[in-house]
Amino acid sequence: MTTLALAPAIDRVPQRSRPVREWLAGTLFVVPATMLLLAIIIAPLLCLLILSMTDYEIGAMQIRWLGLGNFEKALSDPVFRRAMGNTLLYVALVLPGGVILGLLVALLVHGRTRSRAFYEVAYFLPVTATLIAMAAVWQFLLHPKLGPVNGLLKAAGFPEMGFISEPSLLIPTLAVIGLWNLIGFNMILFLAGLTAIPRDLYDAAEIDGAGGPIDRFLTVTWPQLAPTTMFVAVTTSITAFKVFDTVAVLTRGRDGSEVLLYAIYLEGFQYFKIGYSAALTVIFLAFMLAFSVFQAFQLDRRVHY
Amino acid sequence: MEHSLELTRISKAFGKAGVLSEIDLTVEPGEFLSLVGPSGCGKSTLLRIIAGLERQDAGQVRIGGRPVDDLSPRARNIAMVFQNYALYPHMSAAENIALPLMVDRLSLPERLPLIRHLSLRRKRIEAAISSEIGKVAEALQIEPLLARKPGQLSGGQRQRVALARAMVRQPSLFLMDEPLSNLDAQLRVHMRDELTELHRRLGATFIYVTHDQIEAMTMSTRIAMLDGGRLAQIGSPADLYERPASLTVARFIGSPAINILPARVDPQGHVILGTLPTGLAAPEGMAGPVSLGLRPEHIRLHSSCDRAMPMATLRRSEHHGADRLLHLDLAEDRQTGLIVRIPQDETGHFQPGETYGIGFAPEKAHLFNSSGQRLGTRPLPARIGAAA
Ligand SMILES: Nc1ncnc2c1ncn2[C@@H]1O[C@H](COP(=O)(O)OP(=O)(O)OP(=O)(O)O)[C@@H](O)[C@H]1O
Ligand SMILES: [Mg+2]
Repeated sequence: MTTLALAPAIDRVPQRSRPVREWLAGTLFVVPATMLLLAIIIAPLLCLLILSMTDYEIGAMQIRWLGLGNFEKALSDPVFRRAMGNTLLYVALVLPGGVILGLLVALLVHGRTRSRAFYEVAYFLPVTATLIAMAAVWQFLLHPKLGPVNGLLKAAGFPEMGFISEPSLLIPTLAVIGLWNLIGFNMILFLAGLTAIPRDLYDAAEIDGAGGPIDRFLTVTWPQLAPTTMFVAVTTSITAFKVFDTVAVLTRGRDGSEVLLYAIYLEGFQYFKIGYSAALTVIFLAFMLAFSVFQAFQLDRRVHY
Repeated sequence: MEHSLELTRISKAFGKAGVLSEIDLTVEPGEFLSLVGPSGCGKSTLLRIIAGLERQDAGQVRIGGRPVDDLSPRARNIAMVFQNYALYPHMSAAENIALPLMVDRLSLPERLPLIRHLSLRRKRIEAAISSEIGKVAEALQIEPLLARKPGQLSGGQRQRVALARAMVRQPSLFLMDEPLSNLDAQLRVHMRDELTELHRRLGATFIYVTHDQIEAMTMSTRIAMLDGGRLAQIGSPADLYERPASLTVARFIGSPAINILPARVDPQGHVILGTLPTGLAAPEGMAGPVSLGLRPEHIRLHSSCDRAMPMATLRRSEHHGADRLLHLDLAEDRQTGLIVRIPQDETGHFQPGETYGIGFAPEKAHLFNSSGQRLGTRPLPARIGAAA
């Protein structure tokens, strides 16, 4: 009705043809969002990209264009390569662990009725606790001489383990702490997913004879949780890629615990090589992007019905 | 294949709230029994108890003469169709239909992802299952849809897939919880016919929950009406329509709804409407306020009459194709509305605002006491205010 009423009024403006007017109006509508996107996301990224091709250092008087020099240096730097390898190992431990344990805990907690609220809070506490402060606690727990973990191991007849001194154990130890911190969050996400599953589906499964725990899980729970699982996997891997605080507090990036973000921090804010650190950041972002896109495409095929 | 169903003194409460109390019900083999009643009266709960999805607090369920209280839903050999179909959204229609058979015939390891490929006999069994699916799909005309997922099907098609999944195991008892209520009116009428036809062809026992009395009236061999967790009446559709056991049943069955008029019984036992006798007598010893029930098609309107008759004013007249519905207000108290159904071709002038005399055949009237129970009536020899 309104269009009909307005049409003659607009037609009286003679100079421009209809497509041009529409194009103008469309552009005007898009401008604010585009400006915002440019200012908030694109511009900083461009800055980063430009910096990554220079030798800029904090306090430097001049700046030189290096092209891809920083990237060549990074990829041939053994420390950075170790950092990449360690980060991938960390992700490889935390991603499946975080998804499976989060789901397991959610399934167990979902089955409770009265004690559910208690378990939810208990498992969520590590998420709210700051990892920096809790790292001190972990340091004590895992202490080779004083810590109760090694005390238990010794009591059970195992040799003492240098959880935060032995290089090959560093990443697994950090991964366990990372999991401890993460599971509560994943549990909450899975619980939300579980609550949204229609009861009818479980009833139908029961009628169809698929009422046993394994059948129920495979025919209803797991497929219904697919979107949640995908979301949990993506957020978990991003969190895992960004491992930093435990490394900073517990090992200071000591031999065997070099990770990407800590390497970036060292180059940029300890050695002030902003240009080089920007190049590392670009590599880091490229990694994350590739990984997320891969996951999204892989899982998307299974999630959509 | 068909089995009988017997419920004895079934009771169920959720917490303190009693939902069902002492339901006794026997369903003959091959019967199509509709379970009707207002929302929240416990229909779904009763169906879930029969299916074994819910455990009754007291009483016994027997299928084919055999107590099944300790059996799982699967062991009871029943099928259930849900209101929103409850199809597994990640499986194609064919996989949905196949699931009950897969579970029946393959062991758990043979159904697990990856491991299942180790089984040698799986291929053979799956081939047999897929030919059975083909037969069911043909019967329900869903063959072209088998490869699609439920999300790509219309409501009616989903309903048919859900039916196929129910049929494929050849159960002895079909339980359906408002299976048509998510469909649009036209499709509902169509599926109503299909279900009736399916029942005739399979010869299985159907228990059909609905709150739509037209579905219940048109499809069932018998109707059981629940009210407040009790069985209000059970009988053929004609029984419930012609001899409703209570005011609730009378109001629930029939569309448009029965007219309920406040009346009273005078000391002589005559039923008085307003100030006029109706030609009906209540049972001996009965006096006080009663409710008089009159179906819309049993009321006759008289435009010119000198007899003493209850009067009503015509508010509006509705065209319903073959019928006409006249909405009137009873003259004494303008509160009580009255609906009269007359054939479209009936002659007579019906002008809004006009006043008409109301007549009815006493043997067509229903009488209920103040607590809503049906009372027997007897026509009096002298019919006052009644048109033959
Ligand atoms: N799991 C449950 N826990 C507690 N109360 C329940 C539960 N299931 C049903 N009820 C209650 O039992 C009563 C009967 O429910 P039911 O679902 O059987 O009604 P219904 O006759 O099927 O109604 P409708 O026509 O709306 O489907 C309702 O008051 C409902 O609130
Ligand atoms: Mg219901």
